[in-house]
Amino acid sequence: MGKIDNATIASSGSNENIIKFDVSNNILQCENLSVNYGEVAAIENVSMGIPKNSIVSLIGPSGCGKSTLLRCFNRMNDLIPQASVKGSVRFFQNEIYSDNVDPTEIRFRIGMVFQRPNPFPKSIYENIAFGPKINGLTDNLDEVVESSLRRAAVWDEVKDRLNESALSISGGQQQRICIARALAVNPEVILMDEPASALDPISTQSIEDLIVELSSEVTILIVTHNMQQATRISDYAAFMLAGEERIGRLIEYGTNEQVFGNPKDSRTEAYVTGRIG
Amino acid sequence: MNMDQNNDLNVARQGFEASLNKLQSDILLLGDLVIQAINKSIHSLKTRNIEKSQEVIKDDDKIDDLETEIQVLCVELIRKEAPLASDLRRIVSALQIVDELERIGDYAEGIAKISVTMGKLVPINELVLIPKMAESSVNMLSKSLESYTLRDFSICSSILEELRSKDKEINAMHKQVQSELLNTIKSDSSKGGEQATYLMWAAHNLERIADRSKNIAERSLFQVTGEIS
Ligand SMILES: Nc1ncnc2c1ncn2[C@@H]1O[C@H](COP(=O)(O)OP(=O)(O)OP(=O)(O)O)[C@@H](O)[C@H]1O
Ligand SMILES: [Mg+2]
Repeated sequence: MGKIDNATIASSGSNENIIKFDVSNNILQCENLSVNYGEVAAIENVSMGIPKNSIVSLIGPSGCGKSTLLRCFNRMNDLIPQASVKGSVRFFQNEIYSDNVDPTEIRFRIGMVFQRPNPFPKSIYENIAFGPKINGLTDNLDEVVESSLRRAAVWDEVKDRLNESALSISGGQQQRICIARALAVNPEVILMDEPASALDPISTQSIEDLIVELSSEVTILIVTHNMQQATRISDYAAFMLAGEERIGRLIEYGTNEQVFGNPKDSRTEAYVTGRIG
Repeated sequence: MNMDQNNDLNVARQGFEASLNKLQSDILLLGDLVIQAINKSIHSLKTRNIEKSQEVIKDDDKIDDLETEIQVLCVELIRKEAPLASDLRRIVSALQIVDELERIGDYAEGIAKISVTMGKLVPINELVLIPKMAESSVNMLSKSLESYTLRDFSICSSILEELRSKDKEINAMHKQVQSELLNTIKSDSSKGGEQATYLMWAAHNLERIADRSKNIAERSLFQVTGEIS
């Protein structure tokens, strides 16, 4: 579980539809990443780089392995007993699946926001202060809470109710609280799994604005089923697809303009134009 | 991806596909009206058939109405389908092409108006070069519309190449017409000069038609490549 098996790292096949970045500028880089759930392969041989301070969207039909891939980037799959990960994920050139890496620390530096807002059943304040406390950052806690809520563009709405339960506010606000909670430990990357799919259009808009704003300091990898959302906010987009054998692969990875304007692979074209779902 | 979901998608997609096909056939219909207008405006100019010229002016309303109808369809498709990739390019190029066609229709109408203004003036010499320019322009326009329907990179780019050189030929013909007409204006201060002035404008309109036909070929290539030239 969560270990790399170096022997299985094959030479990465060169797919010209997958954009290559200068590795030194990539904050995250995976090579020949494959994940199995028990005996069943979910994704196979995914290799891609994520440039620092970019917004990258992961798109593809349901079940193609987007969430599985996303969870590899901060070792969240370690928490799923039957999941096994093969291949390499480097965070600033460092292998995150090495034995000497603490997955909890990785998950603070590479935060995660889920589809449904999942605040703890505690006060708004406690939700935000949680990460810094665990990390022993108890100085200026009030300031950290305020600045995190400000960065998540939810401060004005909750500043007078910091001691109320985080579950008492709207879904859109809860999602921004979850983003603030991730931001409170100053992560370098935030992974988002359909963060706006359970929200109304106005909350969705504010989450999108927030993502774009955050990308000047944080790198964002976001899974979305909303093509318009992906093309509105992302710098790059990666399209995954599971074929007949139901194993997800990376089909195309390129600039937003390429993937949504003029895809190179006919399967990407078929997906973004709604011919396959 | 499960089968039922794909079947639903295909149903939604079929409706969209049908609308895209209608969009294309409407554009060809508009192209046809415009070509008829050019041919008729030149023929009636040459034969001094004022009645026919007036028909061209009247028929321009049909062109404008069809233009509006196509634009409405495009806006509706953008609103409903939020198109991406090739769908987006098809609709964007359709909007650009109807705009070009409507303007070309106006040039044909302009030629018809010139003919009406000329009234009883009878050509001093039989018109030769102007109808030749018109024939080449119409030829360019049909080729550009063919390119629009083919959506194939190599065909569309070779048609564009061809139209770019045809456009140069028409510019040269235009210069020749201009200098001949200028000579008439200089040497004939009465009716001949007046008539030559009108014909200058007709030749100018034809030169513009050729230019816009070339634009249509450019938009057609954009439809394939996504590159704006
Ligand atoms: N915990 C798990 N145990 C077993 N199989 C799993 C588990 N999680 C995911 N899978 C399987 O792995 C494959 C990829 O699933 P994943 O959730 O990564 O897809 P996805 O692209 O995120 O789909 P969706 O768009 O529906 O969220 C699927 O076939 C799924 O059934
Ligand atoms: Mg998922």
